Amino acid sequence: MFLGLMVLVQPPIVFWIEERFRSAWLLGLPFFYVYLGFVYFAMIAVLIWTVRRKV
Amino acid sequence: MEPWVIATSLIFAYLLFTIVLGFVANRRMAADLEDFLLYGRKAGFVVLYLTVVATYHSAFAFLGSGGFFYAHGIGFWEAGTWTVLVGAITYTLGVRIWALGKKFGYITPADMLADFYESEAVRVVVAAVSVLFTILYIQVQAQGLGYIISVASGDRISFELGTLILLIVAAGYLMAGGLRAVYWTDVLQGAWMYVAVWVGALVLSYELFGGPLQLWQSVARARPDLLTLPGPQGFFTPGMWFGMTIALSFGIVFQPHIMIRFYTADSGKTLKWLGATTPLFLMTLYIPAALVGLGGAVVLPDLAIADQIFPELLIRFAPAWLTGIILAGATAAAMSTLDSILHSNMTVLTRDIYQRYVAKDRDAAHYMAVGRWIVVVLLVIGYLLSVTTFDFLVTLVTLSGAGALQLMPGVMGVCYPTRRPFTRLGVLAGLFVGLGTLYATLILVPHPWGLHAAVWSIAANFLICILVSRLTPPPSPETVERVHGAVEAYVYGGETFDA
Repeated sequence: MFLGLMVLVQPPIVFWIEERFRSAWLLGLPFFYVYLGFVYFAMIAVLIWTVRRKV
Repeated sequence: MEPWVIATSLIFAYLLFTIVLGFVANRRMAADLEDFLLYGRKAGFVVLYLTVVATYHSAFAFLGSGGFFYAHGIGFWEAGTWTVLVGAITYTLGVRIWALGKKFGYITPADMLADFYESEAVRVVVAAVSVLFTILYIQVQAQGLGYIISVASGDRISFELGTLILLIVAAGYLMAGGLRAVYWTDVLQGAWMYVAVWVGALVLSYELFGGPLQLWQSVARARPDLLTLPGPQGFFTPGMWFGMTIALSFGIVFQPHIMIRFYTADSGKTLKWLGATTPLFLMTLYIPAALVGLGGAVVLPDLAIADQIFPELLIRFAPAWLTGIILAGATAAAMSTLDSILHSNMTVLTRDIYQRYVAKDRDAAHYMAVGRWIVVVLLVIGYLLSVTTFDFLVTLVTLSGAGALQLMPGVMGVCYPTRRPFTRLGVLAGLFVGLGTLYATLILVPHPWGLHAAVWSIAANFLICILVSRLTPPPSPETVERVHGAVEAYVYGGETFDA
């Protein structure tokens, strides 16, 4: 799951997102900025979940 | 009282406090080498957490990241990818390094590699690469410190003098208290820098734009080019994005000051929690950095040195007392990394070179004294580099990370058991080819086809390492069984290795 999320913030996906949603805003911020932040927090959540599961 | 006096006085008050901490650490220090170099392998979660994040984030994060947002725009938010990846690497690889260090008493990265590959040549080359590329990192911190104090004092204290003063303070408390002093000051510095960068960015956002959201809207109106990829100067191409992710995650983790921190954890559980939670600190520090850099590009668009954007904004638009506190936080960010690099290079040179080849079988006090002299030499080299060479802080850090990245195949070969282990000749050949490729793709033909030199160099390194390892004799079966058996016992066998 972590690697899948990492792919979402690497080229070419991340460049496609930026180009496709360049003019979009979310929560008063550029969509691209919010998108990256959301994926980063999701990856951290996966790491914490993994420790709690004692994997 | 004039604002520059208040700002500079607060920075000096902070420096005085770190010196006191260093001397208190000295009084608590046991007179043995493991305590001086590895904190006695007793670092708990809170201390280890703050020292790792404070060490990872340096002048590069505090000043360089603002400068990069200022010059290249929103693309630098990719910083989140490498900070989160650092957590995952710590979780998976860091615990293996910790377990092997605990089991076999390793102190430096070269200890581990030389033991597994049964080669003194591997020890010397790894030690040399470790020191060579982290000296660049000393330069980054020293330059950051010089920027801070020269801006805070309104150029009354020159860049050169400011750099020298702060280098001497960091070296002073390190020489007094060893890694214990570094860890104690890092706890203070880690907390201070985080609060400082957030408070500074928010104060400036409200002062200049009416709030963070209004700041983003102003950037969209005044500098829309900063909100696109690859950025106004075309820097963030897909190849650079991927390359920086690799260089600044794996590359930083393989630097000795981070690897040595893995050895110092009190348990594997501590290290796993560290891996899972450090990205929270590391990644969220770039949120205020974006506010500073992007907002700064709107307010002060013609700054000559982009890395100075944060202190310049503070000096011009924030109250003097707040500027002093925040710039002391920036000083903390740079010093917490600087002291760790000085310490790790001291450890590598004392342990891997001096103790091994110059003077064997001396007492701990002798090696500690030699280590202190090595710090003095490193300090002089770092100072000379910082006042004679200038570049973007982020660029220097990336180069430093790409160099240390070349240790990756060797370390992976030790920590991940495979049917066909890498050989010493494979690791050495890969390392030299990797460094040669790094030189070619960074200096001669920079980043061919838009792909970062770090990617070219590590790909060449792995390829040669695998090919040569197929053709040359592996480590003895006893060593492979001993080391890889210990890894498997820890990872799959449930052995804790805890004392």
